[in-house]
Parts: sequence; structure tokens; C-alpha cells
Amino acid sequence: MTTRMEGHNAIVTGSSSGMGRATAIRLASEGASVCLADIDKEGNAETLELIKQQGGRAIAEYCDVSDESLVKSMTASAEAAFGSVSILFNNAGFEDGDGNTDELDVDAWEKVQSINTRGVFLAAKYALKSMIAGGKGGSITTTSSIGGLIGTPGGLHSYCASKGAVISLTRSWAVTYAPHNIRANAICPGLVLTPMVKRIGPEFIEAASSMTPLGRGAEPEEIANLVAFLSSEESRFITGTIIPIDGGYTAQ
Amino acid sequence: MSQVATFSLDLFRLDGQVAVVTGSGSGLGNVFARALGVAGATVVSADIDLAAAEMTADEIRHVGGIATSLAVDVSDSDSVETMSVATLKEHGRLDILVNNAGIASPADRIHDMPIEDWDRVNAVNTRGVFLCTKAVLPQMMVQNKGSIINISSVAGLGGVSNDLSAVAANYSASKGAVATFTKQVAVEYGKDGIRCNAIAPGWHLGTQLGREALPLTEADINAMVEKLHELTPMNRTGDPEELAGLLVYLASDAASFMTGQVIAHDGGWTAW
Repeated sequence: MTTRMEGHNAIVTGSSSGMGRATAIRLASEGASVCLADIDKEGNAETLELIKQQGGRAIAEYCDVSDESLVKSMTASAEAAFGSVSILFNNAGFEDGDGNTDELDVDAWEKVQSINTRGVFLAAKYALKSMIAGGKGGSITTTSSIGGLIGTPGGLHSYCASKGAVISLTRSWAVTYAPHNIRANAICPGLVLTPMVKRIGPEFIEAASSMTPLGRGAEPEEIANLVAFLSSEESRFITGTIIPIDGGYTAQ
Repeated sequence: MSQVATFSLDLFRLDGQVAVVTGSGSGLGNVFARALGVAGATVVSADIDLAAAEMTADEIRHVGGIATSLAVDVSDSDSVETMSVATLKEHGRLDILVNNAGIASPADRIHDMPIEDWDRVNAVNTRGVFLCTKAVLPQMMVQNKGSIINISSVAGLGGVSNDLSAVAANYSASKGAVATFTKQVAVEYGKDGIRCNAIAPGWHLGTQLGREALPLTEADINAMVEKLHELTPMNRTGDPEELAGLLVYLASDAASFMTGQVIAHDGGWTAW
């Protein structure tokens, strides 16, 4: 346990696994109070237990980020437990049923958009209200993807479109809320060995690794390190940036 | 009668304009010079190899265009100054500069690269672009009109694997410098009526650029081309002639609001 994040109240969406879980644990281990927001109650309870085991402060909230009333009540719970929100890791994402445009059912398109774009908007909407009311500034880090920067042949058209959308949204927040000392940045992970990626299959992981200059995927904890930095005072002059964390994928 | 009478493809015409193309004796430079000539420009074909420059000029005249030739070493400030003075003396104005002259060296990895190779490539690709641009700016400022097109490269936009045996750090760094220089010129001289853009070609075969850099055997080249296809979304390399349209567009008034851009022409290479 360290104290860099002492006094900070964080919301992490998509906290039941992968980058969300790793970041929630990391923020809590540095002294932040963390509201774990996820639709997967079981996975979220595990994350809560892992944080409590190491002496951290957290609550777990059931939250479908595409549902405004649930996002509103989740944020209210975080405020009731810890006070005004100062950190949002806007991370919940979804890709199931996505595909190539010519074959993609519009409902499948909408389902991905509802979480990855609408959900990112909603989580930020209520976190921003809390940050503004708290008057102490804040930091939002949104999970985009290298798929939001470049074309990828992986058959994730709605997913990639949503990841491009949140880059623009992040820039709007950075510009709009800078007077409140609220910062907003996006990270663009390449291959990360999360449960979501593992669902796609070993062939995908192998192919993506071989196309990555560092020759491998990232562990979620490597992403958490960047999010912790962007959430902390150490990055207090960084806002509106879009940062690939991709083993060099987009550098080539 | 057209319903949009104010819109005309005549915007792409370059009649009465004077264009200087460096490195015009072969490869992409030859294509650029001929394209400008076909679009109506008076072309000054400039190359370190005067005979090659004259052959390009001759090709332009052969199809009814106007062209002269001269020898230039773009890395030599006196030689560049002479090029600009001679152009103005002969043609009276200077509207378009295509900074195309460029070289590559053997594709050594950085830890094996002789400093002489670093300096030699940068002298032409970076210093040469600076010198030629510097030499034409005063006349373009007097005219309050000019279009400069620099030739960068996809290698100037991102690292390229050494597995391809064709691109080394001196070349990619010089092309990155050209991309940034392009933006600086655009910002500094926008108010003087001068536009500056860059083309970043991907893999185009049939140029002389790789003659030092490419592996020697035909089998090696075939293997490399196959790999290039695999790494390019359009699954092929480019034909230098395909660059003509983009070049003429950027040179012409059709691109009158476009400046400071670096445009990839790469079959999608940088799109993924």
C-alpha cells in the first residue's frame, strides 16, 4: 500500500475483469477509494474481495453503463460512500456479436454502441457532475483502442467506430472542463491479454502478437500503470491526449 | 449547360505556370515532371544527371509540352541558387516546386550504420529540401502565389521493419524531417500566398531509389515484393504513374485551401 491516491475517490467501470480489475486494484493499493461498477456481479465481487484482502477501500455496484438510471444511482452510491468523485476510469467495453459491416446486423451494431459510446458518455456525465460539484478537479481516463486510430482487419466494425467516437468525446471533455481542472485523456491499448481478447481465441492472440514490435500482448497490469499515472497528480498538466499503449503497433 | 457553372476541372490546369522538379531524371521525378507538363505547366527538369534531366524534358516536349532542363546538386547551395536564378531568367516566374530529389543508402541497422551514410542521405533528402525551398520562396512571395510539394515517405510517418531490407534509419529520419518541414513552411508562408504539402508514397516499384538499398538477387527482390503485398491492404505495390493525379492536384488551384498536409499514397499501408 502506498498513499499517492489518498483522498481520491474513483469510479472504475468494467471492473469485474481485465484492465478494469487491474486498475481498480492498483488505484485502491495506492490509497484511493474505489467504486467498482460492472454488470457481472460475480466477477465484481471477486475484484472487491481482492481489494479488501490487501486492505483497500471499495464498494461493488451493479451497473449497466448503457442504462442512465443505473449509472446515476451507481454514481450516487460512490458519492454516498466516499464523497465527490475525483477519478473516472471509463473502461466498460463490449464486442460480442460485432462483425464486418456488410454482414453486421444493426441490432448488434447498436448493442456495441450502447455500451462503448453511450455508456462512456453516461458514466462521464454523472462523474463530471460530481467532479464539478466537488470543486477539486478530477481526471477521466477513457479506454479507446488502437482500433480507434487505425483500420484493423479483425471484424470489429462497431467496436472500432465506438473507439474512434470516444477519442473525439475525450477531446471535447478536455477542452470543455479544463476550467474546472478536470482532465480527460484516452488510452489506446493494442493487444491486451484480457478475458475479452482470450474469448476471441488463441489464433487471434498469436497473429496479433506477431504483428506487434514487442512481439507479445500486454498484461492488464501494464495498462493499469498508465491509468494510475493519468489519474494521479503526477500527470496534472496532461489533458486531451490520446495515448497508444500497444507494444509499438501503431509506431510502424 | 452545367448546373454548377462556377465549378470547373480547369482548376487542375497549370497553363502559364512555371514548375521546377528536382530529381526529374528518373523514377517518381520523371512522372511528376511529365504530369505537370501534360497539365500545361512550363517544366524545368532538374537533376544531378543533366542527360537524364534532358531526356525527361524531351519526353515532355515530345507530347507537345514546354520544358527545359538543367543540372543541380540539391545539397549544394550555390548549385541550387543557380537553378533558381536560371529558371527566373529563362521563364520569368516560378509557381511550383516539387522537392523530389532523394537518395537511400544500404539498409544497415542503426548500430552498423556508417556516419557517412547518415550524412550523405540527409544532405540530399533534408538539406536539399531546405535549400531548394529557401531558393524559391522570395520569388513566390513577390508573386504572392506558389505551391511547394515535398516528397516524404511512409517511412517518414512510422518505423519500418528491417526485415524488408529496404529502409534504414537515415532515410526514414530524413523523410520525417521533410514531413515536419512541410508543416512549418505552410504555417510560416500561408500569409504570403504560398501553400506547402507533402506526398508520402508507400511502396512504388520501378524507381531508382532502392538501387543501393535493395537486395541484389532477383529471388530476394521477389520475396520482398511478396511480403510488401502481404503488408499492404490493397495487396499490391504502386505504379509511379499513379502518383501523377495527386501531384497535379496539390500543385494546382484545385487545392487552393489545402496546405500543411502530408498525404499518404500507399494502398492503405499506414491505415492499419
